[in-house]
Amino acid sequence: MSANIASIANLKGGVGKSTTTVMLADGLAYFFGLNVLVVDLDSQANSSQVLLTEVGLDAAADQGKGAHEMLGQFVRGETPIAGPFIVPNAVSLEELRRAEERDDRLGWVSILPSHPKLRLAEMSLEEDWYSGPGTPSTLAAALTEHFRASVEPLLSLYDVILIDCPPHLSPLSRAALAASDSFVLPTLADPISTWGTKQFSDWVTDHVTADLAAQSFIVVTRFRNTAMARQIRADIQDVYLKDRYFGAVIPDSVSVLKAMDRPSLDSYNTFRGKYGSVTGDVRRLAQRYADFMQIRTGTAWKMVRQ
Amino acid sequence: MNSTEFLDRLFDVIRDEARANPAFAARLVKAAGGQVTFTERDKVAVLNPLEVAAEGGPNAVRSAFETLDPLQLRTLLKEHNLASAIDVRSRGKADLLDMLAVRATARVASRSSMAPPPQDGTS
Repeated sequence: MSANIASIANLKGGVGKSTTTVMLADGLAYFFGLNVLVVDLDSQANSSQVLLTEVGLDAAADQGKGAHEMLGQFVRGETPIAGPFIVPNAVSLEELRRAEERDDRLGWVSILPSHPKLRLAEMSLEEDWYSGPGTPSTLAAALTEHFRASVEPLLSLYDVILIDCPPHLSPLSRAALAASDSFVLPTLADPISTWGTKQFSDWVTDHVTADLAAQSFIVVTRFRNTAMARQIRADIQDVYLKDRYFGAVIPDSVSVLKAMDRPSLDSYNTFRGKYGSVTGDVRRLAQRYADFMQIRTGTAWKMVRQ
Repeated sequence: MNSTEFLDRLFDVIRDEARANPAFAARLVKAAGGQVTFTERDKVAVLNPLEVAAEGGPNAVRSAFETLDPLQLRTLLKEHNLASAIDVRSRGKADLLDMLAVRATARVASRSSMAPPPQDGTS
């Protein structure tokens, strides 16, 4: 087993990166029994909040877990290793918890959480780095090396590593993009997001990988079923990004909002209970991603739950 | 229609709606700065446990909702997304009331930008 690393990214904020990250993590763990690691590099810490709750997020930071600690390791010039900063249990699904209780683990979600202090740590690092001969590009390159070395021991432990990137090209997010094997691009079916996706695609193509088209998985999120949204979605799929692989469409729905609000760290729900009316959409998202990965890597994940 | 008839008709409509819709009645009374006591049946629809927790902490939540039965507590917990159906399954009244108090207080503490309530926050 060698984990595939995917960045969930877009230059534009509010396009559903964290929602897509959490849905993919849950969907792949539940339907395909995969061992998923979520790496939250967005200092807004939304996917961490969704998976761990605010209380759990703070508790993790108090226990020395989180991406900001990994950054501290880099600043201190210590051996790169991400393992100690990971919260090994970010599961909120009752079926996964029960299987684990029966000593029959089949699908799991762990997280390297973020915290608002990550941005402060990154800004402090940038100030130090740029006070010398360093540039944003050299910092991004050094962080890429550190990040790659940090996650290297984890590749044999996980099936998939999903990196929730911030909506800007900070050195840390550039490092995450450079270390990724594939790119999940959430976008809204509106003109502004469509343009943002183009900006991001162009930048990644120029600076990270020339083969972005083959490595991209597009997810249209917060979809409102209006004539205009349907037209823009068709334009995205048939014209602007016609060479990309498209995942499921995630509707704008109360069920999505509820699924992204874990009541408490000791709260669990069944998959259908958590996702309600969007259960089928999350299933399709996971299924389409599995199909995408089979095309990309030849790895065929087997569905273990319906 | 003269002014008295007009006002009578207006207030009749408001009164009828308030009778049929306790949540509307609560908003109306609150907007006018009044305080009212609600029946147990109406409490579930009207009282917001997060608002109670923000104003008085977990003990105020316990006091406000202690007369509700387990079914009403389960409904309240789920409606405010303070618990899933799994969380409230097979729980007795004391557990449910405690869950409501602890989780409502924790949510307010983590999401509210307002100062915490003056009294203790013990759970």
